Amino acid sequence: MKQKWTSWLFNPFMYLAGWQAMIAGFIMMLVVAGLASLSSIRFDGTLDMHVADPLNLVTHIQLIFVDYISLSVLLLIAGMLMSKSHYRIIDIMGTQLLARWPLLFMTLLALIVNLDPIREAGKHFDPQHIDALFTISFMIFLCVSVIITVWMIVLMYRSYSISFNLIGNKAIGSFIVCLLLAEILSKFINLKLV
Amino acid sequence: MPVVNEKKLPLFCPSCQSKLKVKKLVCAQCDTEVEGLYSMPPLASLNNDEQTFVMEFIKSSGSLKDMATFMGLSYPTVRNHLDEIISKLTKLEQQKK
Repeated sequence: MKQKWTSWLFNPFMYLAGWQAMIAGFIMMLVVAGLASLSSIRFDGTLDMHVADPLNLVTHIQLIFVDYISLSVLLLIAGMLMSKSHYRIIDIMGTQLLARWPLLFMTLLALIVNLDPIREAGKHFDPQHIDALFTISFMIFLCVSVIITVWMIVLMYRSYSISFNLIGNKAIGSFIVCLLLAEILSKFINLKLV
Repeated sequence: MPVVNEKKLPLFCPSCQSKLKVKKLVCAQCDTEVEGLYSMPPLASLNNDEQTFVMEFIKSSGSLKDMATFMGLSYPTVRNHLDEIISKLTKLEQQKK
């Protein structure tokens, strides 16, 4: 029972893939974009999150989908080149979208910890908006966001590994290269969007 | 209800771990015995779970989608499992040659 619970948390694609994962991931990303539009954070890179002036819902959706498409397309190309198995494009596209669901916790956390002082301090290059209590809560926010990011990367890798039946150094190496390239690509496109 | 342990076909020698072969076949009806040295067919060399998978796969007319529903797993997980069995059977076939 415990094993199944951890599988759902760290390898949900064992049970869910294809269109089901795509629909679940799509709904999840709309919720993430909606919550992000209420806070001061934006996801302007495959692995990036920044505190800045609030954006409208449509721009948040665009940012999240640029991040998703950048990585998914690169992983699709890498998988097509390396996999010897029979794969389905819908599996990598669907599971990659669902792999981003930990962002939901990031946006919820950003709503709980009011990040406006950081935004103001960044704008005016003046730390006077930041007090000791805020510093502590912001440090906790940073630590939790690192954990959430690592969790998301694990899910992204599992999605790639299971969709193309790739394991070992070859899978890890190609995944890291794609992740770095996707970060550069998404950053470049998103800079033009906002 | 008492739990009946199903007999499992041993595939490897308990002493040296080498692959076992068939030496004797017996007719349960008339006790006729046939003796010789026969290799196990590749499918019989798969473990119980793999044999069950192959059976269900055939029964579902080779539909991975139906298999995924039956096993409660995702399509790529089932396909990867099938890949493992294919690779194992290919190795067994090569060893036979």
